[in-house]
Amino acid sequence: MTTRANTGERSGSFNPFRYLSAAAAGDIEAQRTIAERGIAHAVEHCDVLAAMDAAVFARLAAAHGMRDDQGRLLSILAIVGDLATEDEVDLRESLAAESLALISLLADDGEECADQFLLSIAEHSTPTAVELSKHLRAAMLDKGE
Amino acid sequence: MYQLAQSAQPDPMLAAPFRRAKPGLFGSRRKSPSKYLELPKGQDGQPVVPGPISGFGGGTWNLDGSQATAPDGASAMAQPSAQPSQNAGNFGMDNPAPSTGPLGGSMRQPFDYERALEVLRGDQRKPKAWQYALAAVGDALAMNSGYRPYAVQNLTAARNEQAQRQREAAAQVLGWQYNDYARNQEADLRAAAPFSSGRDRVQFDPATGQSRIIYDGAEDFQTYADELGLEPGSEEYFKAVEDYVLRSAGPSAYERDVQLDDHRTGNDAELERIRNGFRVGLEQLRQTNRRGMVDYRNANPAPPRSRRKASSNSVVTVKTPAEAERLPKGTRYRGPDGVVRER
Repeated sequence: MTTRANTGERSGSFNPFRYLSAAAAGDIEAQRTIAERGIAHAVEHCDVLAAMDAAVFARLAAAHGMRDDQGRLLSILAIVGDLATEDEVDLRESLAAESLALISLLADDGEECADQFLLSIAEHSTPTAVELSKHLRAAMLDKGE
Repeated sequence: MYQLAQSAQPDPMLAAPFRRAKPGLFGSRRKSPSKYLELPKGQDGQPVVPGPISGFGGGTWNLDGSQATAPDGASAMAQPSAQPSQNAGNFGMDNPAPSTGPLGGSMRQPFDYERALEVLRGDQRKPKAWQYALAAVGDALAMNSGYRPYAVQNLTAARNEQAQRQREAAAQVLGWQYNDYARNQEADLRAAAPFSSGRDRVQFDPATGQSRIIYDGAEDFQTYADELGLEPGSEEYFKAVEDYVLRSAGPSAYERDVQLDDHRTGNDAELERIRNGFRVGLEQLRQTNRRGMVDYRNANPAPPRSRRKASSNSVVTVKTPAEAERLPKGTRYRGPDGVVRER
């Protein structure tokens, strides 16, 4: 039986390698587990690198197309942006650009919540992030066909 | 299928000898950017990216592979090695230049409270507005499938934590400042406390570094001279001061010594005069008494020792009138009655 990670649990004993092979094989539950436990670990240790690792698996899980996984990815990106220091302007802008691109895609897909916050997020983002989001959105839509 | 590791089991990730405090989820830091991200290319064939891109290993890189920004924690790790010894022991101090003097400059170099506050409150990361909005969207979508929302909660908790740390740092620094002020105040009060120097009370002013006499107490010699009714500054006044200070060697004591010596000398002279008078009187009495005494000398007067002829001036003593009859004519003789006659 698959057990979902609870972000409220203590992540000190979390071993991501246990789920790595399953996640690599495409198991969405393993990807979700690594993403959620990873972001919990990152928050607990203020480790931006762990947060970005968790974001990788959140991206994989979101790539399956489930709306909740996409929401989890947005939440993790928000936390990664918060963990980044003020000096890491480029990282923050990159995260903001990816978030903008994801939300714009969600808004296009009819998600009201995303549509509601899209303008607000864009207004509070830097012009650089907005410009970069356009390219990322194009890259996300590019299926290589 | 997939079970979470139990907390009772040893954690191999935590036991790994990581050399960095924040190694990431998989214990390693990737430095190279993603080489597989294909971005739209411009007319010149170069990717049209307005800024650096972020990798999954922390930090950002330019498209040519050079690092644009350091990974998280890199600056904090590099800082101690940049100046390994200069900053040692100088926490919160400005310009740890070598100081001179026995105090090592600690009394002249103020503590840098701004720097201390900055260190104490740490990195004040405040979530941006777009992060809250993003977290709200993410949580809303995740809640639809029954997941517990945590992004907004984490952001709020982080903000509260930063605010709490800010308050604690401010309170800490304020406590230091108050203690510093209190110590300075106490030191000033202690330094400014009046103290005794002889009969005077003296007060030191820490601001100017000068001391002033707040009560000029009269010394003993001044009291002595004043009690004599002498006018300060006069010759008698200083003479009295000398008398008090020099005691038996003072001018008045010297004068009295001289007077006493004169008096004793006079007494000695008078006594000697009296004694000499007694001696003279006694001798006179002795001579007087000797004159009337009948003794061997009187009975046997010394023979005349004059070189002149005895016949001319000598007086013959006779014992009987018959002896006087036998004397030549014209001879002077002294009879038994002591009367000198001439034959």
